Amino acid sequence: MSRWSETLDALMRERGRALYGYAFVLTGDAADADDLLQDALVRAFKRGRGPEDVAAAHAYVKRAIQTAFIDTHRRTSVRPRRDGRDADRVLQDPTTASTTRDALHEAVLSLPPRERACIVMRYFDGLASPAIAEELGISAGTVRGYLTSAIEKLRRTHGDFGLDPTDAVEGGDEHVVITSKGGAR
Amino acid sequence: MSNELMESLARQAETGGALYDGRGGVDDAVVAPARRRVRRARTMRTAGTLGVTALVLAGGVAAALEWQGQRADVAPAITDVPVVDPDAITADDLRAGTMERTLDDGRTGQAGVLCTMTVKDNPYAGANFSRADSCPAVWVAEAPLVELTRADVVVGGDGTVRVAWELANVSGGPIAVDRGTIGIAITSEPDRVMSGEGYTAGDRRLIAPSLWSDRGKRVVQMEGDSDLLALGTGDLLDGDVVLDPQMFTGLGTEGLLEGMSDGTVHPTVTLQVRVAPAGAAGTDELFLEASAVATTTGSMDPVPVSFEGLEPRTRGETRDDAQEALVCHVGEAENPRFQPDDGDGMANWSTPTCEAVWIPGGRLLELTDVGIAQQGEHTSVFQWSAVNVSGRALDLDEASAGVSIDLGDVGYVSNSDGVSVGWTPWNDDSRRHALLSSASEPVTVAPGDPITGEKTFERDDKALDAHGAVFVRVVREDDEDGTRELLLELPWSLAG
Repeated sequence: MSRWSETLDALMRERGRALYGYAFVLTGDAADADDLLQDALVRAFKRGRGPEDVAAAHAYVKRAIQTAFIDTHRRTSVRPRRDGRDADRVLQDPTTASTTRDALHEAVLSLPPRERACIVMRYFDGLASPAIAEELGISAGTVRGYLTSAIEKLRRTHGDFGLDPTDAVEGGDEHVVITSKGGAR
Repeated sequence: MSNELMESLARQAETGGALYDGRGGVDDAVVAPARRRVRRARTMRTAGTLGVTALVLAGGVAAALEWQGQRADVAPAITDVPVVDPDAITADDLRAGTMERTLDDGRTGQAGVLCTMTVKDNPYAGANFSRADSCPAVWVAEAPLVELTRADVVVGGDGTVRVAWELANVSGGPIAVDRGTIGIAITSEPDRVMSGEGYTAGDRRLIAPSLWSDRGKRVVQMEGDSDLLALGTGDLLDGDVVLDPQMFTGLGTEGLLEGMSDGTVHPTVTLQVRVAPAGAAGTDELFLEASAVATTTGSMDPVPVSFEGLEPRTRGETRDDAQEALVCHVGEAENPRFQPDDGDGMANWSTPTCEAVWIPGGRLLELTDVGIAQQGEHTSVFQWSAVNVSGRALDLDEASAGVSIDLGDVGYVSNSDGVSVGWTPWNDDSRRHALLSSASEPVTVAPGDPITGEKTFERDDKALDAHGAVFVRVVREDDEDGTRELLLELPWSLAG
C-alpha cells in the first residue's frame, strides 16, 4: 500500500469522527457532509507525497474542508440568498435550551457560506479573526466584516441569544489548534 | 456572551459524530470514492509527467501530446491468425541480414528501422515508459514481408479523423510480430527529410510531415503493451484508429487536417510493426514498415459563423483595437462541456492546445485586479476581477473561467481544478495550452459591469511574481456545438 494511502487510513481511523463532525457542523446535512469530507480528502491527498502523518493530515484536511465548503457553495449558488426574516421572539427560557441551540444552529445554516465558515471557525474552533484570515487566505478585515454581518443577521433573524459583535470580532485564539480528544476539533 | 452559539455548534458536531458512529464510519460513502479519485488524479499527473519526459528525451523535436480522453481504439483485431508458431521468423533472424537504407537510395524491398539502446531504456524490456526515437533506417529483405493492404482515412465533420488499416503477411513464412505495440503514422510529405517542424506523437499514433529525421534515420514510436503472435503467410491484421482534432494542433501537423478535409493533401499511412526477438527483449529492436497512400473521404463542417473574422495572433503581440482570444478545436468527444458528468460533483478540466487569435473591434474585457493570497502552508488562492469595456453586453461562461500561471522553463506543470501552474503554456508563437471545463454557467455581463473569479491551487511561491492569463469562455449563439470553443484571454503579470 502506498504511503499516502496508509496515512489516509490512519487519519480516518484516528480522526475520522472529528473530521466528519466538523463537516456536519458546516453543512448540517449527512449527505452534504459526506461530499464535503470526500472532496477535502481528495484535495489533501491527490498531490505529491501527501501529508506526512496523521496530525499534518488532520490539519490539512480540516483546512480543505473549510475551503471546499466555500468553493462548493460558490459553485452551487454564486450569489447567496439574502435572509430577510426578522426575529419574532427572543427566547431566554433555560428549560428550552436545547430548542434554543437547535434554532441557533438552524440560523447558522442560513448564513452565506463565507459568513457561516467564519462563525464556525470563531465559535467552534475558537479562532480569532487573524487566525481565521490566515486559514482562509483572506484579510483579517474581511473576516471581521463577515463575523459582524453574520452576528447581526443571527440577532436580527433569531434573537440576540446573547451574541456580542465585539466578542465575535475581538475574541478567540490567535493560533490554530488541532486536537483530537473527544472529536471536538 | 456567546456560550449558546458555542454549545450549539459543539452539539451539532456531536450529532455528526454520532451519525458517523451509527454508520460504522464512512468508508463506503466517503473514503473509498475519495481514494479512487486520488488514485485517478495521481495517475493523470503521472501520465502528464511521462509526456514531459518524452519531450525532453526527444531533444525538443517531439510534441508530447497531453491526452485528456480515453485511449484510442488502436488495438488491432486478428482477422485470421494462428496464435503460436515456434517456427516464426524473429527479429534475430532478420537483423543479421539488414542493410543500410537511405532516402532515395533507389532500392526496394522490405523497409525497416533498427533501434539500439541499453536494456534499461528499452520499453519492451521492462522499462515503464514509452519513447519516440530516431533510429537508423534499414532494408530488412529484398522483397516485402508485410504490406499495407488497406489504409482508409475518413475526416469527420468535427475534425475527428478515423484511419482503418489492414496488414498482410506477404512473405513465405510466419513472422513473430508484436501486435500490441503497432504504431501508426500519418505523414503529408513522406519522401523528404523533416526540416525542424517536429512531430506529434502519443498512444502509438504519430503525425508528421515525414518520418525521415535525416537521410538515414527514421522516427519510430515505442509504446504499448507487448502482445506477440505469429502472423502466418497470407494472414491479416486489421485495426481502426481515431485521431481527435487536438492531435492536429501539435508540432509537424500544420495544414494536414485542413488539407485532408479539402482534398489538397493525400496522406501516407505507415505502420511500424515490432518484430519479436527470439528471446527476451535486449538492446536491439527491429520494426518493419508498411506504407500506403490513404484513400481519404469526408470533410470538416464549415467553421461556425461565431469564429469568422478572427485574426491570427502571435505570442507577445499587443493591440489596442482588438481582444486577445483563443480558438480551441477539440471536437465534442474531447470537450469537457460535452462529456457525461462523472457524478462526483467536481468539474472536469482539460488543457487543450488552442490557436491564438484577435477578435477585432476593440477590447472586450479588461482585468482590473489580480492577486494571489497564500492560504497556509499548502494552498494559494488566485483572485481576479475584470470589467466589460466593450460598450455592449457580453455573454460569458462564469463557471468555466480558468487560470494559467506561467513559471517559465521550470520543467513541470501542475493542473488542478481550473488552474495550470508551471511550464510555459505556449507551444510555439501561435499556439498555447488553455483550460476548458465541464462546468458551465452562462452570465450576461452588462457594459461596465464586473466579472470575478477565484481559484485555489497548490502553493507554489514562484507564482507570486509570475505572469499568466485568465480565460473566460464566450457563450456563442451556437453554443450547443462543442467542436470548437472561443475563449477570451486576459493576460496579467505580478512581476515587480
